Amino acid sequence: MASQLIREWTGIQQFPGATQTKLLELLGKLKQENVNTLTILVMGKGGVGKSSTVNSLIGERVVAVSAFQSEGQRPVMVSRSRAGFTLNIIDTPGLIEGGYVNDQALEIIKRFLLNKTIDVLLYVDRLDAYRVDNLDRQVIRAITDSFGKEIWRRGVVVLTHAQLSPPDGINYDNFFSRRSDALVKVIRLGARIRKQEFQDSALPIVLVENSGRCNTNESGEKVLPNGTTWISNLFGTITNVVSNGSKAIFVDKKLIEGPNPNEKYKLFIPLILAFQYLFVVKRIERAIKVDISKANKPLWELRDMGLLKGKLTYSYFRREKWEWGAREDWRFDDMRKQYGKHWWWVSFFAVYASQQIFLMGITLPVYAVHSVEKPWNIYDSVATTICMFGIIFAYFADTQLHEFVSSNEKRKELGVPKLLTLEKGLWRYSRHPNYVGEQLWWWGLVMYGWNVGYGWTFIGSLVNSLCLAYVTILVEQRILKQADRVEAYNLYQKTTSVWIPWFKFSPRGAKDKNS
Amino acid sequence: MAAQLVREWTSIQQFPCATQTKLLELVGKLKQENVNTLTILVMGKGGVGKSSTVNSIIGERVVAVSAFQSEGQRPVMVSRSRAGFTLNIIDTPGLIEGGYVNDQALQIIKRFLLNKTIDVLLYVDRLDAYRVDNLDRQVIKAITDSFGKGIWQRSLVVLTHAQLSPPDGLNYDDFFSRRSDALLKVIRMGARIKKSELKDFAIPVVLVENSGRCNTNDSAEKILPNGTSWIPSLVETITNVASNGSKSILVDKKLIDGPNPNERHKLLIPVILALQYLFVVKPIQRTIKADISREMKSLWELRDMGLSGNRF
Repeated sequence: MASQLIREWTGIQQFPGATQTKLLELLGKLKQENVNTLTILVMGKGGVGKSSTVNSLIGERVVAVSAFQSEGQRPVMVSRSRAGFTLNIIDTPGLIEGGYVNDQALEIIKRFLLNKTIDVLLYVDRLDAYRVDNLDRQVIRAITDSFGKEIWRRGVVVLTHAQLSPPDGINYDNFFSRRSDALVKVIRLGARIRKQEFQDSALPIVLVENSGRCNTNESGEKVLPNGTTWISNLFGTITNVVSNGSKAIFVDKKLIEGPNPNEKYKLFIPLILAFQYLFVVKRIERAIKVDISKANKPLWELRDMGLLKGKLTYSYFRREKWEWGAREDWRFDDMRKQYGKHWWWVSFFAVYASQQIFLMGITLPVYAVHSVEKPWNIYDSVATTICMFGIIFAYFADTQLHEFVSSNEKRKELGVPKLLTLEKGLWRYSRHPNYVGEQLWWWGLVMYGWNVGYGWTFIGSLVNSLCLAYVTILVEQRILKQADRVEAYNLYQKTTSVWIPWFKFSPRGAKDKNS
Repeated sequence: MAAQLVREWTSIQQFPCATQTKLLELVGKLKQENVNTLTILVMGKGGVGKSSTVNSIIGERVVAVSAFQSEGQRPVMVSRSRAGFTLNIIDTPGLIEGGYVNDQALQIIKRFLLNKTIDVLLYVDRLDAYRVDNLDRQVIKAITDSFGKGIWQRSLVVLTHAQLSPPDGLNYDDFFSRRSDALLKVIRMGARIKKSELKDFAIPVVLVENSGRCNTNDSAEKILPNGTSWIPSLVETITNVASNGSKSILVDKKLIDGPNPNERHKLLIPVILALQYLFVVKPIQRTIKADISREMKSLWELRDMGLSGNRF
């Protein structure tokens, strides 16, 4: 059993009889309340007397004390048991190192305390220090940030060097009360404890004098200048704090690592998206639509050009929206005529809201990826490949389309008959390679999301694909309405796959005119 | 005459006779060396006892001392004259503010000292502090940067709260020697005093106990735990430092403003220009000329383009 490894608290016999009696009384009280073990954490700046206090409590020199050297870099836990009661005291290195909080020491302390429960915190400082400044506040803030504000409900302030002669003009009690007021105030500020909470559970302050020249009373007990026997007083205060109803601090991994930074402000994401959509995207779209309507170009040309005048990487989706908008321009006109004066609000639901949902849908995987912390693995690489391939594919497809359109314009200028269908390059293997590329990109994103366990984000891409299917049909129907192109395009349709790039197949059911 | 504005050092009579005698002796010695005025600058971290020390030397409560509040933000100069000798003591605000050197206080101190001459620097700290760390070094560095390294040849270290009981296991003298060693070491590091210069910079350390409960001997003089009467001891050390042959520090505008950053390394400018010319501009010119000559252009064209010249 673990208790066999813990040494017997023999040091208790060092105390004078009166002190021993009081201590055992307090232990008994704790055991009555079913508290069989007590873990005390001792923290504070360097050189204030933490290790000396630990030695005084245990009754023997368990921790090394050196007036001039800094303490060891590691925390030390001293455990003693007596009559079935176990006392653990954890001595820590000073938290201030040359004007700064020693974060490294704090980390070491936190790791040392993993899976331990802190019943009481002793915050140690000197009684005979005259200034309380920002450094103290930083130490207290560091303690609060590491263990939570609740630790101060289990806190006791220990002021060492209590056998001092106060400065001229102030008597001992006055000095003590001013010193403790100043320190308690800075603790309240550093731990951000509101005045109300503070009055409910005031922080106890205990004076100690750890040196050998501490005065003693007739019973041989160490006494303070005001007559208090301080060892039993300190133990008494500790027991009171343990029984004051607050919870002990369990130091688990979550406490040590702190809140997950990825979780912070997650709720802002949809808000920001909405904001961006309403105030940024919409304006730009409107401006673009105005520009388009001002330009006198036939609609099919606008559609075929795809309005690709932006960088591919930047808002690939926006390009799609431009196309969508341009393609739907005639539909907007129709709808505008249909709804008349109600168009201004009908459009919100019929067009803009739906597009917003669309946008959120296809960016769901991005949201997923940012919610989960998972290291890069093979599937992420596959997804990246798919996305890159998709973009490059679409880029080439669009470029070829653009060349086709421009060459047709040149032909018109030169009076040469234009090409009826685009069958070069990627367009040879698919009738809509630009949509293929785009879908690859969005499905690639879904793969990222699926990889971190958010497979359901495929729904956005699925909707996108359905929309593209619908658009494909619309586009082809419009082409087929053009008398000069219908025959050539029919042949194109029969020999080329609609989306998935495939080799040319022989026209099905086509009349072989030559045979 | 300025001396009429300086108050008489009446409080010297507060001291017990034995102390008074020694003090007047020391003043006499200084006057023999033609030193009629002594300006002492007292600096250190906050809350160490600077103001209390000033009050102890003057013999009356000239500077406000408060255990819990920070000192005033401004330096205070206390001047007293006696038998033709003028003593000026300048008490300063603590240089450390919450973990950092208080640059603003340092600026105020420097401006206060403009055109004054510092004869002696008292660097004050507590005897009963157990750690010497980076903060101390920063204070010392700030003092060195402000007044120059030479100020440490005119300085002494004053350790207050000298009537302490040392921690368990150490006797008083041991504790004192270890404390002063640690502090002197950090002064050497902060002021960048090289080991070879140590002899010139042997800084004396003096113990003081400013509180009213300081023990006294039969002559009613305040004494330290080792029996020394410390007020005359302190003043004697001050006079020794004042007569040790080194120069007093005159705080002129140049010292306060620090070296003009614009003047730094000015001499490098022509050197850099020359280097640039020789190693950068010339090779580029050469390659450009080579490119041009390789191009087949008729001479009249070159002439018209103006490339027959060398100007770039």
